[in-house]
Amino acid sequence: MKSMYKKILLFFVLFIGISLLNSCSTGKTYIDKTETFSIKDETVKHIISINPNFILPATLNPEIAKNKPIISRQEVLWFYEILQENAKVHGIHLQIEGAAETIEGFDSNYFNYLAPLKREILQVLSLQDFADVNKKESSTKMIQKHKNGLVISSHYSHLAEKYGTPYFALQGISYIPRADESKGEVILAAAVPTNDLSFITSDVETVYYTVIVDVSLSEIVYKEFRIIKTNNLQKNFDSIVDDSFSLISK
Amino acid sequence: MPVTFTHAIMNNMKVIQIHKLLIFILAISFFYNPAFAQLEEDYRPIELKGEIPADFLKRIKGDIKLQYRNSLRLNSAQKEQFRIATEYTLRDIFQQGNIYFNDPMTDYVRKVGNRILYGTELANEITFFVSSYNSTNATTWQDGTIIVNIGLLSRLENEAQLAFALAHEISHFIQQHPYLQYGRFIKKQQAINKNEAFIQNIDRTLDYELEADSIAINLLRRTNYNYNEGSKVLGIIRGEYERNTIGFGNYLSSKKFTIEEHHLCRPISYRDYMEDESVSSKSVLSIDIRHKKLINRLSKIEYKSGSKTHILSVKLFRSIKLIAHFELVEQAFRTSNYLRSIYEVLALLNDYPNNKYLNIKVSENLYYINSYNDLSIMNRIFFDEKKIDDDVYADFCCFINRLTKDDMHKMVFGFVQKQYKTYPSEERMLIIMAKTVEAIYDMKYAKSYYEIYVKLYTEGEHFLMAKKKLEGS
Repeated sequence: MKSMYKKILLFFVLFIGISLLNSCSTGKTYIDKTETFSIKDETVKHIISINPNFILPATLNPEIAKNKPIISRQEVLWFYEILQENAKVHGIHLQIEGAAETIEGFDSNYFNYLAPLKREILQVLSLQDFADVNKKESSTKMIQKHKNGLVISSHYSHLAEKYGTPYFALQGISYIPRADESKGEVILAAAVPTNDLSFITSDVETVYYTVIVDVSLSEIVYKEFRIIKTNNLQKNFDSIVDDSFSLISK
Repeated sequence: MPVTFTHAIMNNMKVIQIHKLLIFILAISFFYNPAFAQLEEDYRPIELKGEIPADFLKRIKGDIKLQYRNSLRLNSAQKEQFRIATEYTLRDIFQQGNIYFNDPMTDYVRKVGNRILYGTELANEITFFVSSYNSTNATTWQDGTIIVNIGLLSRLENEAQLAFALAHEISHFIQQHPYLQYGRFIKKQQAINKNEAFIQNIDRTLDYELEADSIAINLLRRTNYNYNEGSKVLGIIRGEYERNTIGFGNYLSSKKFTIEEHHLCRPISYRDYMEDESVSSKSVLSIDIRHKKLINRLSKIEYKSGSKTHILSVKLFRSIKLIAHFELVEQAFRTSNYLRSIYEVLALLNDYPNNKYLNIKVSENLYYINSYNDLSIMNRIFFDEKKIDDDVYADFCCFINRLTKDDMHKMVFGFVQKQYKTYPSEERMLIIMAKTVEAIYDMKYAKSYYEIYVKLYTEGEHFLMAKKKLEGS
């Protein structure tokens, strides 16, 4: 019992340490991980990433447009490549499914299973987030809000056999308009899949996120939201994703 | 060709026999429609099958071409923004799995739609799709995509009403309303950025709707559809339709929990949700204006003799409407709109009281309602709050909202147990029973149900979850 307590404490200290380091180098980070999630114990570290979102602002204001990239297919491919390469570095096989840009993995299975699973995860994230129920929030925002992960429907558990892994992920980059930009200039801005945006400060605009579900447990086991700077996106993104996968693989 | 003809003559006798057989089959099918008979017992939600159609993939790849005359004189950057916005939104809708393909509903809608477009240039420009959205609506995009929601399809009363709804959407495309709406928005933003006054009112929605109603009548006059049905469509959108639902009081009662008068409640006004919401009130008002104008217009048109409410087949329409309604139950459940899903079941149970799918779906919905209630976040699943326009639905929501946690446990467990006794070896029922017992009582009581599941359904959808539960118990 004592050794287990020590382990948990050590893990917690390590976790806070790494996360604080991250928040210094890349902006604020929010991570919520269940006790049971540990991909390192798996013989094959395999995650299915369902149709990762890459949404940066398209804007009507020429002044803003000059400084911000808009959605471009080339950049989406670059985004997928970075995700897969960094996952590989940490021994994770990241399989991207349902990506329109690559057309790979587009079959009826995607529409019957993966697309509904993605919708379910998004729905559960928005419905079951307990931010307004559990008021005790740590100032670091790196907390474990839920002892057990948020619950998704159990009829997705058979996907673990179908795809050879219980882990399915939502990943993406979303843009959140700053207060001074929200006067209508931004015509496209994807929502970040969380209700709790309190970790976002006024001077940030882009969030990178990963949400992992374990379908065999019907639980969301890992949530990560990081703030990144759009103007340095291509330069810094590689290290951000590397860091993210290093945490997931632990 | 001559060979086939000679063959036919030579096989005259056979032809006569086949003829008789056909008449016999037709006679039987008149009284016994397998599609409806099957629904007496069970329903399997649509599973998308086969090759993904090219017109579907095109929209996911963003391979679309907007078609409009640039009457608002948007510059090239603004036109590009319009294209990006349309492409992105369509891609999102299609990629999220909200659109059906290779299914009977889409086939049917296309048949009706293509009758309206027959002989026009528009036939090559417009493509019809059916979505899993539950609102009583349809949408048009400037690339020629028209999407009909199952929420609308399940409410319509005949083919001519569907034809009116489609003709209305086609009119939006012809009059390039998506472009005009977007263009006006862009112009307004431009004026704000340059601190210029923008006099034109950008909210021309009602004007566009009135124009589309009017043109829809013209389009339908070219066909044999009874365009008078148009005014009924507006009534349906406004929420005026007959729904014969079974009483939820008796249905949800069990030995464990009887729903009595004191459990029931009535909202102050059934339509109060709509009355205190400015947006909803505005949309109701807008439909009222459309309704009056359309009736006025129709009264001035000479009735076209021979116009029909059904051209394809009454039976086909009824089966498509039913499929849409069953899909509505499933899709409401999948989007966590559990109360709506049960409400739609209550309407279907009137005709299909022994349908296994419906009875089990209520159990499944109740399980999740109970979970949200236990977490004290049930307010989050009242999706249709402020939009309810039906007495039974309002009463049902009021009843659920009023139940104490303890009463909710008794009601849910009692109902699930009742259904489990009816369908003891059914996979879905077994897992709901296991999960409900675990949630309301304890894993040690649920264990035996999980064990039966693992034993019976080694390839079941919930097998891994059930196995892990047992390993962890």
